[in-house]
Amino acid sequence: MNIEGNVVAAVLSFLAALGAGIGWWVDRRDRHKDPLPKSAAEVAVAKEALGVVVAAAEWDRTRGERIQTDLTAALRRITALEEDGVTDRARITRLETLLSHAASYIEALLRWAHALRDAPKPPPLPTELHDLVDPQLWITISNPKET
Amino acid sequence: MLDHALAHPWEVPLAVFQIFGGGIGVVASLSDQITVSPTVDNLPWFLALAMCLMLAVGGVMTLFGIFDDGDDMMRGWRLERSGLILAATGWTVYTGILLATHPESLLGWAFGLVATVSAGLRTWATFREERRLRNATGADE
Repeated sequence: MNIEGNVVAAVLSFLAALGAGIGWWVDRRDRHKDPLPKSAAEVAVAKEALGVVVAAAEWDRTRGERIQTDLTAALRRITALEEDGVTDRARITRLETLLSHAASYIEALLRWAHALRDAPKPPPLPTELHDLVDPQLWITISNPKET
Repeated sequence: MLDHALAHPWEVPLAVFQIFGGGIGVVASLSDQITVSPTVDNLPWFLALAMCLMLAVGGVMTLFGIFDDGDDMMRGWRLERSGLILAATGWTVYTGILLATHPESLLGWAFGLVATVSAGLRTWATFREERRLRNATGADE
């Protein structure tokens, strides 16, 4: 065998001896350890399993509480949205009423304009529209300046 | 017994292979007529003998440890660990000689390396399990 082969053989022999030594040392340590009865190990495993079940139940409980909190917040939001909806509906109803009065007044104005000879004064401005149209304008139209 | 084998589906067949291969290797290293592998033939006869003995004996001890049904778990682990360390040593020597003489034989030395690492991991796992159970039962080392 050449030198390189001798070196390889030496290294591998060293590794073999090292591994055998480690195995002997581990076995020696294990020999001096206290026995571990299977029955005690089974109880320990059962206890661990119970611990896992308890932890899972706790996790479920925490998750349930979190869901409850999220649900309460969601219900609160829905209530707030419903209240906003009620307010919006009231606004819409008021706007519809104003529009209705405005449309009626426009019709009356057109009739008056058509029959100007017979009705010198324009129809009165409905009180509901006083917020939208300046009542002074009606007074001015009702009392035109004499030329 | 089947339960033990199914709980260690990789370890058991590998141990059986070690016993078979190691056994033939022991015979081949003591005989001029029989050859098990050109790679093992590259080793000096005493090193080839040691390597094959480690694989064979390691395989036997591993199986005895796995299938031990005694009341004391330490007995099974002791046997298994010693067997695994011997086997890992044998596989290390095998991987080393392959790398030195046939580095192009990728599958060969890679398998040896994987077998070494597997034995090491399983040994470590037995230590972890022992510690866990001792902590759980309150037993001392």
